[in-house]
This record gives sequence, structure tokens and C-alpha cells, in this order.
Amino acid sequence: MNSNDPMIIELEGLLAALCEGELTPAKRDRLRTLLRDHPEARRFYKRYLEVHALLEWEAGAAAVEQPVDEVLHMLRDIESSAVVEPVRLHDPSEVKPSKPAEDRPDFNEVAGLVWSFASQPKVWAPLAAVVALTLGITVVVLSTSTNTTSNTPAASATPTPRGSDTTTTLTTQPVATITATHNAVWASKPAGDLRRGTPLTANQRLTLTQGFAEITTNRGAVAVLEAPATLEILGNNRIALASGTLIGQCPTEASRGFIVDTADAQIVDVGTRFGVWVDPAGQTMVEVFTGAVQVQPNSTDTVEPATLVTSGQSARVQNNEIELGLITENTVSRFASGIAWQRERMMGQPSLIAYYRFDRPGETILRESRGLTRFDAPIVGAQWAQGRAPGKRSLVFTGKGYDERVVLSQDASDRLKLTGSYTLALWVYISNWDDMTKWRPIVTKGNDSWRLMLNHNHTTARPRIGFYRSNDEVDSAMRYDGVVTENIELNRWHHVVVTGQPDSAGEVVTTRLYIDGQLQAEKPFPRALVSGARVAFGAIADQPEDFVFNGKLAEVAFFDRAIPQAEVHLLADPRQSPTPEP
Amino acid sequence: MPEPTGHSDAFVVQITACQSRLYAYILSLTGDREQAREVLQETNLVIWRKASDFEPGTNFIAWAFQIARFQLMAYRQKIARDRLVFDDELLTGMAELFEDDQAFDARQDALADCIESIAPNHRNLLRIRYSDGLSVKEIAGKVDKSANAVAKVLHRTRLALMQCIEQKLTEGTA
Repeated sequence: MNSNDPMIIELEGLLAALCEGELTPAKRDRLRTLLRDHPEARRFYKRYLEVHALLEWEAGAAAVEQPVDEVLHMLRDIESSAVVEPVRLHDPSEVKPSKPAEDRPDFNEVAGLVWSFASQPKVWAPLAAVVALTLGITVVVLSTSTNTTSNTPAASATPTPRGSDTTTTLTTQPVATITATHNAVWASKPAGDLRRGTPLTANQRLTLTQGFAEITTNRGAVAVLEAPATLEILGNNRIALASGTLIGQCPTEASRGFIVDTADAQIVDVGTRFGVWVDPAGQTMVEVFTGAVQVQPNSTDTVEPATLVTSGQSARVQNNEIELGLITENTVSRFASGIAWQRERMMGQPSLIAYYRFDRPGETILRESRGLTRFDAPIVGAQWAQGRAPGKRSLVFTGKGYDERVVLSQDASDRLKLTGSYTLALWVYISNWDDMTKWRPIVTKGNDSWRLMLNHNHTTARPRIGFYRSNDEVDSAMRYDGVVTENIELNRWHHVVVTGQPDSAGEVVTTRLYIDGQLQAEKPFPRALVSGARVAFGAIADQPEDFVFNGKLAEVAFFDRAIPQAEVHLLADPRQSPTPEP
Repeated sequence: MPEPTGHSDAFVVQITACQSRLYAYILSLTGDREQAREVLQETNLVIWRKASDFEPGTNFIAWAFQIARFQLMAYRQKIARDRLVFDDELLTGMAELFEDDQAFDARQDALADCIESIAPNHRNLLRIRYSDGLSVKEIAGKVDKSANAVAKVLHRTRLALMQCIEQKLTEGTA
């Protein structure tokens, strides 16, 4: 039973309405359709209505009566409280010893509770009435008291009382895990136990007062929290956000359908990255970075289809209304700090071979950002310039050919052959330029290994970016193959990623080219050849002729693995933090 | 009223034991508590009257569900069709789901345990809603919440109970 299935989600809304007597004729029709068309819907319906029916059936009198008003008063905060009180797993102290019922303190008394389902069900009335009618004997059914006084056969066959002899602690299984934290301070109890690797159980409530935390559900959805934030884990792919900022991401097929509930809305991921912000007033704001989410205002009136919010759109939910808007890229975003933290963690992985942050303006050496000096390289000709956003820097090349270049050492270049699994990621700005006939090297390893270049399509005369490899040599003539994307827009920043993933035999490398987070081209490259040429930025090493670069370059990274689409999206996300990145 | 025949102790135990299951089935088809109680009462009456038709040793549940199904169809004739959740086709399909359910009693037992496992306030909410019979609108008015918010909490509570029951049954069979 997949509770993340959009059909089940819709069904849930209908069932909630049904149980509260709020099912309109239109909803009833829709319910019939779902039940008729989906066996899974029938099974879910049966289980859900069974719980509802048994609650009705067992809704006997209170073991300890308490005035309704007092109980109601206690319910004022129920909206934000967990259904199940969190318990620590595998903690023997949490498990109450089994004792004979008569020796055991009443669980309800201990918990200060007021109600027990162990009493006589008042819905027995139909049977009791029939028995009485048929047998012609007197039956007294006290529908709201703890006892049913009867000498009827029916009463003698009353099921064994349940519940009062059980002091069960719900042994919920972990449904999510804290997978990372940064300067995290928790208000939740036990705060000391909330760290990387801590399993989280359903209905566990967490309050993050400082820093960042990443929670990964059992289904693989990732939620990045930025303090201050309060949330509740609802299931193996579902989180309720009471307040604060959450970035959701579904990196795998299994994690699709990840749900974020807020007081105002339900957001269902249909394969995407998105942000949800619940402001102090409880208003819900959704931004979709890539892909799409379904947004549905919280209401028992949930028959209407959810609103699909797609990449680049935002949605504000207020008073059961959705107001759609557009996200302005490259502007300060409330989600930027969380994204920057995710990105920094990615850049801290061992799979990162070299990373040039381009953040030391004025220096004549381009530094590897983690201090790997063998990757440092002299800057020749190119100048420091404004980067893709305020606070960012880049190197600008003005079309002077080999007089503008950054060429890495032989040692560094030998580490960047890009054979096996690899990723090359960078930001590039291609300036407009009249002479489109010349090939423009962005990052290369000689003229006979691999080259990320800008050239133009001879037919359309439109600029295109391609990643080319030499893959064979016939009659001393090098043959090239490339993954190419057409129609690159000039005079703006683009994020470019190339990944290579070899097959199991290591003979064919599937090469993918992503522009601005989107997969543009994919191709298998057999037998890639690699020369001893050095890696160069804005040039081809030792090739002074014919190649000129006119544009800006920034944030170049090499990994020894093919990063998945989700990480490509993360690197390409242009959102800027209002504060320095962590 | 003629004296019914065939009311052995075993028959009485069987009709008693299947009450909650019949009620769950009927409520799932009517969607309405009052209607469900009315149909259950009619069903019980027919079961009682036709007791002599029941062959001991055969499947009592299937027999009782068949009667309930006919009573639901008859009830359907009496009221506007739109007021029932199910049409005749689905009515039969759902009956099979309930009849073939070997774990109903175990789930009913598990529910009682699960109710004790939930937070006190949610248990109190169930009491107010189911035992005291307040509607979500009435509850909402008294706790200064929207009806939607209360309905949502009730929904989450039912889902939690549903998951708890499944888990307990899984643990029980592991």
C-alpha cells in the first residue's frame, strides 16, 4: 500500500470527508470511480473504513468520565502535536514489564487519561434490540456507561475486554534518518541524541533552533532544514513542516511522491527539487527549483485536482487559495543558505579531485580551493572579474588566444584524464563574438584527449557547446566524437556538467552533457584515448594557433564519479544566499 | 412474534462474534453511521429469523455477509441511490474483501492496543468525536480551530492507527 501514490492521497482526502459526513455528491462520484478503477483503492478504503467503523463500534463509555469541556480545553494544541508520542527504540526502560492485569496500574490512570475503549460498545444496540424483540425479554443497554446489564445470550457472548490489560509501548520502526548536520542545535528531546545517523520514528517531532540538518526518509527523499524550523516525521516518505524552511529533493525513483504537509497545504513531489517555507504566521510558500510538485490546500474539500507547480514557479497558499508566481533567478532566496550548505557538503566529498572556486581576486595563481597546491596554476593574461552573482568572482578572457590561459601542471593534468567515472562541472559565460568560425576552448586536455568547446553549427550558424573525445586513430588521423547541445544563448551564464559512466566491462563510457541542470545530450564513447597533454582553461595547452576564448569562467570542479541528475541540479542552482555561504 | 428456532449457543456466539465485522462492512458501504446501524439491525433480524436455514459446520461469516448484502441492496431501493457510496457492482466486490479477511479479529485486537499507544490528546479527540458524538464543526468551534484542521488531525490519527495495526500484525507474523 503506497501512501505516496497520488491516487491514494486523493482517496485519503475523500475518506476524511466521508468519515466526517462532508462528502458532497461530486466527491461521492469521484470516490466511486476510484474504488471501481483501482483495486488498491478498495483495499485502502477497506482498512481505513474498518478503523473508522471499529472506533464507532468500540466507542463505549469512558472508563473515567471527564467533562467534555475539560477534554476540549486539553485539545487546543493538538493540531501541532504528534499522534504517537516518540519513544526511543531498543531502550529496555521504555518497555513496561508484563504483569498480571490485577497487579498493574491502569494505563489510563498512569497517563492521566480519561478514556478506554475496553468498555461495552454502544453499537451493540442493534443486536441487543433484535434479540430482545425476538426473545421477548427485557434488555437494558446503557449505551454510554461502562456496563451493559443483560442476561441475554448476546450479552454473554460479549468479546473479551481489550486494551485495559495492555501497557504497550508502540515500537515504531525508524522511517527516516538524520544524515547530516551543521552547527545544529535542537530543542527537541533528547537533543543529545539528535545527530548524524540518528534514526527517526513516525510521529517524532523535531525543533531545530540553530544551524542546518538533513533528514533522509527510508524511501530516499532528502529534506534539508534550516533553523529555526519545527517538523514532524509522519512516515517513510512524509514530513509535516510546522514552521521554518525545508528544501525537498527526490534523487531516486523510489523517493518520488515525497509529501510535505503544512497547516495550509499538502505538497507532493512528483520528481523534483523544491522549497517550502512556513512563515511565523503559518502561511505556506512553495518554490519549485526543478521538476514539479502538486500543491493542494488543506481542506476536507479535496476533490478538486491539486495544482501543479512547475520549475521556476512559486505558490503561496492562504485561506485555501493558491496564488502562483514566478521565481526570479539570481536573486536572494530564502532557500539559498540551505542549498549552499548542500553544495558545500558535496564539495567536501572524497570523490572531488580538484575544485577551483575562483574566489581570490587579484592573485596571479589560480588556487585549488582545498589547498591541493599541485593543482594550482599560473594565470596568464586573463583578468579577474565579477562572477555570476554578487560576491562571486570569475576570470575573463577577451579573445586574445593563447595570450590568455591557465594551464595546469603535468602532475595535476595526469590526475584529470577523465577516464572511468568522472564529472567536469563549471560556470561559463560566452560573450557575443562576430567570428563564430573559431572554436573556443573552455576547458581542455590537449587537442587529442578531451575538450569542452564552443563552436557553431555550420548549418544553422548557431553556437553550441560540445564535449569531444578522441576515440580512435585511423591512418594517423585522429577521430573525434562528441556530445553536443545546440543553440546556446550567448551573453549569459550557463552551468555546464559533463559526466562519464563506464559500463560493467569498462569498455563503453556513457557520456552525458548537462546545461543549466538539464540533460542535453547522451552518447556512449568506446575506447577513449588520452594523451599526456596538459589541462588548460580558456585555451588548449601548447596550441597557440586558431583557438581563442572570449568569455568568463568560474567554479570549475572535477570528480572521480559521475554525479547523478540531482547533484547536477544542486550545482546548477543559481539561488544566492543573503548571507555568506556556510 | 413466533419463537425462533435453531438458536443454539454456538449460533448465538457466532452472530455475536461477527457483529463488529458486519458493522464495518455495512458502514463501509453506506458511509453513514445511522444508515449502517439501521441496516445492521435489519440484517440481525433476518439472521435471527433464518437461523434454521443455517447449516452448522458451514461458513457462518459468508452466510451472514450474504444476508447483509441483500439487506444493503434492499436498503438501496428505499433511499436515493446517491446517498450510498457503492453501486451494486462494488457492493459485491467489497463483501468479498471483508468475507475473505482472516485477520479481522487480530486487527480488532491490535486496534485496542494501538489506541493506547497514541498520544493522550489524540485519544481524547477520538473520545470526543466517537464516544461523545461531537462533529468536527462542534469540536472546532470549542477549541478555536477550523473544522478542516480538526478533520485533518482526526484523519492523521486514523492513519496512524491503521499503520500501527499493520505493524502489529507484521510483528505478530514475523
